[in-house]
Amino acid sequence: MPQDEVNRVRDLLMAFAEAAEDDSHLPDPAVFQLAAESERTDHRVLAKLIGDALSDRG
Amino acid sequence: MIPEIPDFPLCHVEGRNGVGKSLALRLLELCSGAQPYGNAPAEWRSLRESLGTVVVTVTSLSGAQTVEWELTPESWPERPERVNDWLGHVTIDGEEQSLEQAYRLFSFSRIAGDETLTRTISRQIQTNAELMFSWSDRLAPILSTWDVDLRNLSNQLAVEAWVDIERLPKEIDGLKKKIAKETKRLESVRSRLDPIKHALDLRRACDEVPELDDQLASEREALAENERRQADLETRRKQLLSDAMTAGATRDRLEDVEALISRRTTRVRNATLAVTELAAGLGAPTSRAELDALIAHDEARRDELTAERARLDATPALREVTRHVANELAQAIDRGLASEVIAVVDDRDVTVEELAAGVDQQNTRLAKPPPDARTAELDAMIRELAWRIEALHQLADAVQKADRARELLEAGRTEQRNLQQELSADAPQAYEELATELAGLREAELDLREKVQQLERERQALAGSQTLDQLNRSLSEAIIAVGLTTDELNPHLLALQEEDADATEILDRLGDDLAQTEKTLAGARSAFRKAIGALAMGSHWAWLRDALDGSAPDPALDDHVNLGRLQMLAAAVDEATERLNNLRNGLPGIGQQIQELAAAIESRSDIPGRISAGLVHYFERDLLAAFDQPELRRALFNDGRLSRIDLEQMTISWTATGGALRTRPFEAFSSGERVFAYTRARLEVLGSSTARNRVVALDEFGAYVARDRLDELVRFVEHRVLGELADQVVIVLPLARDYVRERDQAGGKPDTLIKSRADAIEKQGYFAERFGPSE
Repeated sequence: MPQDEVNRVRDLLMAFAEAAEDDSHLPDPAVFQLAAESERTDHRVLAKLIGDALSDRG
Repeated sequence: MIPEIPDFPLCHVEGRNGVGKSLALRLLELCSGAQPYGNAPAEWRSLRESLGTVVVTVTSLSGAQTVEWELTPESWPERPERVNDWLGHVTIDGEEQSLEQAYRLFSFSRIAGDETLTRTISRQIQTNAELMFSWSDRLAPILSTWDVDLRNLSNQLAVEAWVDIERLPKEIDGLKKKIAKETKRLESVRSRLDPIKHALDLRRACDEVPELDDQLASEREALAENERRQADLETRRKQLLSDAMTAGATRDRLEDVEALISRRTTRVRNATLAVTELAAGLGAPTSRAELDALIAHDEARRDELTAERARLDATPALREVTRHVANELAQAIDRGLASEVIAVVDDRDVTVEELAAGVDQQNTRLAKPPPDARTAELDAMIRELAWRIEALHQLADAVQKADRARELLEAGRTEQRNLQQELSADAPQAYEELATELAGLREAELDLREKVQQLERERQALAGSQTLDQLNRSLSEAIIAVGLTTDELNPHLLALQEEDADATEILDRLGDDLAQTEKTLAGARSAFRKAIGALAMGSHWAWLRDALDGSAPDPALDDHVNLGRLQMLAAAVDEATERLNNLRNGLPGIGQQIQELAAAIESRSDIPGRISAGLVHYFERDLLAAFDQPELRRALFNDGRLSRIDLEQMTISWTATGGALRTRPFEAFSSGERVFAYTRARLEVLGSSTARNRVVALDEFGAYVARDRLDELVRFVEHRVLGELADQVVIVLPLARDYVRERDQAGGKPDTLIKSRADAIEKQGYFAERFGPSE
């Protein structure tokens, strides 16, 4: 997995969200990075997304 | 494609358009690890589809004899991604090696003479668009798999289906309240109904008792008459016996047999009556064969229901197992094995003590009565069947007894007939007639007694032991008690009976609704707990439990708590799904915006308003860093300090060495000295390559030829590039002249150089030679 490409895409996603008033529908750079570094059968990304959503709800 | 580029340090390649000069250069760029199609996806796809396998060979190297690449377009990706092993195979001196090893040995760079600063910027931005599209494609399968996983999880949670668990108990409470209300109404109706019924019963008794009393008197009179006649016949029989009998033993025996027949006749009658009454109560047949078949049928049905009950609620069977296991574990603990591992569950060791505690806990749970309405219904049906089967067996016994009594009676009669034969003269005939008449009187006596008993029972049921006077007095009191006249009794009875039936019907309906609702709730709870169990313990959801870290659904918790947890989890799953969808949809969308930005720069148009300002600023910063190299600063900005690239205005700003701020449009670098300086600057940047053998191609430099700048470029290459920055420079040009026509027009004495070039062009469309002073 070419790390510099992953970093660049992540930086582009962050730049895109910079000027947006509402980023709730925008791709999340952190989610992209996790997805880029994961295998299809790796559920840790799903576990993290669900865990984050639960934490937000307290 | 041109087949060969010779190894002249400064090589001149000139050829027709379309002969494949640029294609050859681009393939060499690919071999060197660069991606020249990064901003031209359509050209890439076309190349991939039409190229076919190509072998590229490089010789006269330092560090090796030959490097050879076999390019395999069929394995290339659809998008122009960064070069990787998909390119093909590489061998160095005949041995297969990695691409990285080839890069260390050989690097090839192409510099296009028609590339302006604007185009460089546009292409650099476009490369980022391709990067987004490429990652969108790469992540698509993985995101799709995760989407399916989340949907499966969402289906497993199925929170909408569990709402019944909260709603139905309230509905059940409502139904129970209604049932209580209707029950109270029914009780009120019956409390008014019963006294009226009692008064009406008394009235009927007063009407019917006189007739019953008359009937009783008549039957008793008939019975007394029967007894008198029997006594008379008995006397005559004894006299006959005395006259006709010679042997005292036979006479005594005949007396005994008469008495026996009398008793047995009574027994047969009673046994038959018992069979009739039992069969009527059960609605059952009285033949042995039919009874046996009915019993077998009911027993089979009972077994079916018992099995169904066991399937619905394994509690009794489970209790059996847990009691047995608890006992064994207790004994093991007594033997000192408490801390020994007895099981492994989900890779976790479980000790004897832990398992015993768990079994005890479950035993306690199992002790609670099952709430399932269907189970209770089955229990009731099984009990009723068991009672009925018992009653059928009793009926079978009664049938057997009656058959036996009939056999014995017949045996007595046979003995009687035999003994009669020992009487003398015509006595047997006379005796037979007497005995027959007596038997008839006895039968009649039994009928009369039965009739009297029945009448007595009827009278008892109607009026108890009250006389007619007492009944009339009770009737007067009852009518006063209900506060109605005699004529009003029936209408009021009918009205109350109607209300009773109505309330009963409502209660039945409510009862059915309650049973159905309880059944639905039990089913929902069962399915809910099964789902909770799967989430809490199924190996498929282990990853989810790790994420939930203590807030996962737990079978040991209350349903209400688990439902709350499922609802929170379902909301979290929805959010996770949305974030993945945002990523899946966002990557190509952003790629599209970047592509539009690159197109606007290339065509010198205004940047569309929908392009994210964040992206524009990002690329301004990114390009600033890319251009902030000493060679470019020196060549283009007089060593000034770059301060800003403005994509909206398409300008570059820098601070000159004297401190003044300068701003120039991109176009300013596309004409005159600036173009040349830009080219020189790009050449100087190549100095960073660490490959042992470096080749640079200057392509599309036809404009230099047209402007007589070629000499200047060649001098620069000879003095500043060859040896320092590159081991070979190839200058690729379009045909500058019609060499073939010149040769032909020269007749027999063409210029040697012209002839050589013309012959090469005629043969292969291009020529390649050393750049020399003749230029």
